[in-house]
Amino acid sequence: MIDETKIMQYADGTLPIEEHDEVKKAIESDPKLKELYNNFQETGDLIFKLGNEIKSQPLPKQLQEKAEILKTWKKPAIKEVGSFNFFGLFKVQYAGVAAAFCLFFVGGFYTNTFVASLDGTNSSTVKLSNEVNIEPEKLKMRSLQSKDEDLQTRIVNLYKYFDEDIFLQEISNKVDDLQINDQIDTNIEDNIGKKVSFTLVDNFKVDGKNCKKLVFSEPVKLSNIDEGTTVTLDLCKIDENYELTSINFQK
Amino acid sequence: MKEKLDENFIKSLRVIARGIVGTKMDPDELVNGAVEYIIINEQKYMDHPNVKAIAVLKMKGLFIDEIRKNKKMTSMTDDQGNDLQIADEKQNEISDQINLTNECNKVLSIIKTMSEKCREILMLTADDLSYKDIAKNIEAPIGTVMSRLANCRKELKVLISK
Repeated sequence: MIDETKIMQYADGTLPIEEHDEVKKAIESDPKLKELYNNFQETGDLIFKLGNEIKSQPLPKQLQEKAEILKTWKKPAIKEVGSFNFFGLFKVQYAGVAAAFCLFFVGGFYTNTFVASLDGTNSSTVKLSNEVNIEPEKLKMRSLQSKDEDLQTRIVNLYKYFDEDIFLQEISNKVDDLQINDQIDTNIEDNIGKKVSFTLVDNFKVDGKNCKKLVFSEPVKLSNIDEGTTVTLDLCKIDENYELTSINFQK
Repeated sequence: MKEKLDENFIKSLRVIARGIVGTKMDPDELVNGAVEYIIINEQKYMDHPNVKAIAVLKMKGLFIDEIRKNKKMTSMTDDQGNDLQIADEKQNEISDQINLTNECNKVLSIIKTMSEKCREILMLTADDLSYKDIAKNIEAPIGTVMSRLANCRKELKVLISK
């Protein structure tokens, strides 16, 4: 019995020549094998044609630019010493997601069930609230530094490397022992593999709950035009566990 | 042999990426991410004997990250429990913007509906890689590659004939 992979190899022209006779005879004597051979030929041709057609298409602009860089192996100016590089691997593709992110952003990016004070100030005051009162246009204008800043990209890029669950797991046992200006190291890595560390900058209370403000110990590059953003995280202790209550971007 | 890194390298990745993403995201975003990763890690990969395998691995990783991220996003609600309408938009199929003939478009559309393993191996074949190179890329024995490819091609034929 001839293995069907031999038939495929024969159809593809990759079967060792010393096996040709055996496979050829089997195909000629068995209509089912003949049909299988024809099918492999057909799919082989189609797949080959498909590959060639995709390759014949011009590259989109962003890929063309990268092809030029690869040819010369000249790096784009996005790797800097002294900052974490969270500059992303994807652009935000989905406007819906971006819009949803904007709903969360009010001088800070608020997570879980906490809602930030929407009093229009830039203070980091976080209050526990059951109300959502968001005016997207207003928020967007307030949070964007300039029309050139792509806020959505920056937020998504941050979340690509900053896993909230891992972060909380790593710091939860250590954060209570920290003094102001103490640094805490984590296994979170930025886009270029640099370990991310945080510094405690403030202790404060919200509704009687103990909260901590940590800052990424180096500025964070969050987009290809970002020269470095100071990112702070507010954590509050709820039921003996710290929860992330807000992420704040400051230039 | 060391891969020549140029426009053709990226065009190869565009073929392979279409096998990785199926209909879940824009394959060119995946290619962009993988190439960017290689550029950033120039010192590490400039003399690497198989940069394509690195890029393929990176594209798979990025795709998994994206899927995981989307799952996280789909659970987002406001504090009143209202869905933030992310889920529907994220679950929509992403149409491929590449301009193909009707025949190739049909084949690609069918491949995108197949299992992850079939998509991957068929598009690696479409990149004109040998069985041996495919085996390197998917880290599987060559025998596995051949039997999987044979099965996927039989399935493709059935789907095309429908």
